[in-house]
Amino acid sequence: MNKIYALASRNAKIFLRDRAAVFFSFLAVFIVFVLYLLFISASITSGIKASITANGFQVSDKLAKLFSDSWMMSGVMGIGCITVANGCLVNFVNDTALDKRRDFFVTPTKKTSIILSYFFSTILITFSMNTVIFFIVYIYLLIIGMGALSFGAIMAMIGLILLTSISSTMMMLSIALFLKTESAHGAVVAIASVVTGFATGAYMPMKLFPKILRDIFAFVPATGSVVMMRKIMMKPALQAMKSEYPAQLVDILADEFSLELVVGSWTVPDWAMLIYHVICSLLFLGIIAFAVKKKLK
Amino acid sequence: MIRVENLYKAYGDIKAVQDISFDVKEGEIYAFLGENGAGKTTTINILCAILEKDKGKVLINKHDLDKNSDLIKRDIGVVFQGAYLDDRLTIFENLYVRALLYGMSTKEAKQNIQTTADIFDLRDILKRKYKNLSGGQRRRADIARALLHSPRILILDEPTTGLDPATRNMVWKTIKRLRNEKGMTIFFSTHYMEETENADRIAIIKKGKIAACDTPHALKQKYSYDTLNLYGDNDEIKKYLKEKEYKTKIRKEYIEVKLESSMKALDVLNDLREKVSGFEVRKGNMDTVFLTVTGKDDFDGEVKDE
Ligand SMILES: Nc1ncnc2c1ncn2[C@@H]1O[C@H](COP(=O)(O)OP(=O)(O)OP(=O)(O)O)[C@@H](O)[C@H]1O
Ligand SMILES: [Mg+2]
Repeated sequence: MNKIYALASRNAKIFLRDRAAVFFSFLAVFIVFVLYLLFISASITSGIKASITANGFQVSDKLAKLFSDSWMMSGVMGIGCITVANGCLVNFVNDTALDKRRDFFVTPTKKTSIILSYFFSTILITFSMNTVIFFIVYIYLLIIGMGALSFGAIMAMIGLILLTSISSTMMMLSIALFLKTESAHGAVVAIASVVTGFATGAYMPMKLFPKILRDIFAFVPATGSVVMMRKIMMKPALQAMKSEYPAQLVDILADEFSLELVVGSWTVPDWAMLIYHVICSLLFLGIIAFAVKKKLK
Repeated sequence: MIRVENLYKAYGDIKAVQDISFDVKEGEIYAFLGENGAGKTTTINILCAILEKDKGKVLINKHDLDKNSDLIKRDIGVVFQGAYLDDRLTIFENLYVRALLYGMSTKEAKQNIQTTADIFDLRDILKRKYKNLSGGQRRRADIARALLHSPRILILDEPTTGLDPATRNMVWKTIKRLRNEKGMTIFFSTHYMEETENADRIAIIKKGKIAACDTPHALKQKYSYDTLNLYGDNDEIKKYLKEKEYKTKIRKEYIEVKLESSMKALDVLNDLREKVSGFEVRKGNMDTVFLTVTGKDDFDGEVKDE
């Protein structure tokens, strides 16, 4: 255990001392955030206003924006978990490319411990950086007028961030294990971020995709956790709406913005998403265990 | 201390190691001499259990590599050919992580780092990042890292390549001191002939096979020869040497003559007294041993000048 700790803190130091790497793993989140505020926010907000007006009601700009922003910010969290995990794992791939781990393999340390150390350092960094992102997002939403989240909701968010950090790390590590160069990793990272961005609806509401694509996206592990985060983050905005408009209208909006994950015609409940998440994580863990046993030097 | 029997290793079609066997005694300094690509690193990687062998048996301090590699890892300290410490960590941090991997407590780790840092004069630069060190400082840090857990066997893969003569000397002084004071067994690879003079025994490897193995003295006795270099009017000298059936190498400035013993030079010089304008007699050394063993001493008249 001491050994894993020693190695994990080595990995973490190597990542954190590379300022550019830290900056770039935040950058993806930052870009989505800025693009959203500058360009996308306005069109989504007016979309919300249009649906409400179509049903014969009036809505304030502020409320429409709150709805749109809190919807968006949960997607940002999903992207954050993938990009930060990948940023950390660059060092893993780098260690593979330069064969750095041989210096650990000549010590009486198990291969498994050596791999686990990357696992822990990545989870820890991904979790803490995304918790920071969450609080930044939360403060932003408070400023634009969102009602405060309950303590339980904040805890649930942190729990979900942890869960998503773990599953993203497992998924990305199980891929990184098979990569030999940083450029191959770079390509995988780009694909993974884009797929996650679309699948979790961070770039645009899922409703805009054809049904078949939405059903496929539902199987991306991060989708479930973003849907759960979204439900928590949007609660204050939905409550504000419910106090002003009939429940029916709010339901229409919720549907339009895919607040629930629907596969086929089944609205997936939270427990099912959690179980699916755990199953996926175990599957990736299996791949990792297999790769470590089989080939890894 | 180290016993290797019939070791084989191939990378696809490349047969890097073919049937290597040797035996290193406790407290011995053993040199593995070979050109680039001879299979030195491959053998060393197998010894320290980071590369799997195809065939053969390896016993280190009586432990079988196939069964007890963890025990072996405690017994050996390895200095790799390249640099494997982490650039962004300081020497201290680098050594500290590795010390813990050998199962030391944090206190032991710190103590051992101080002790080895003193041996290698690293105390003042312990807090410097590895990437900011000079080549010599890095090498010293690499060797200190190998000695952290006080291994009984030190394995070094081309430890002095790229170092200046002073640092090279310092490295060798330390290696010898480790052997003399602690009875450490030293196994090192090199392609510097002169460096093998430090060894008790030398194995010369060529294309994955051991071509010769003995003490430096015995190798010289067996494979080395003295040469006589003659300057002066070429044609007549050549004619004479050919008549007397000497083996020669014709260089731009002089003719190199292979001698059975250095005394033979007297005969040649007596006969050619009028014809040569100058001469020098060269004692055979490890270079000549190496050239003979690896079959590169192409004596026979042909102009082979560089
Ligand atoms: N990972 C590898 N894959 C394929 N071939 C390899 C690999 N490592 C070494 N070889 C080949 O095996 C042979 C022996 O290589 P090795 O590294 O053991 O030589 P060496 O004696 O250490 O040489 P040098 O003095 O250059 O370090 C060479 O022909 C080399 O090209
Ligand atoms: Mg080598």
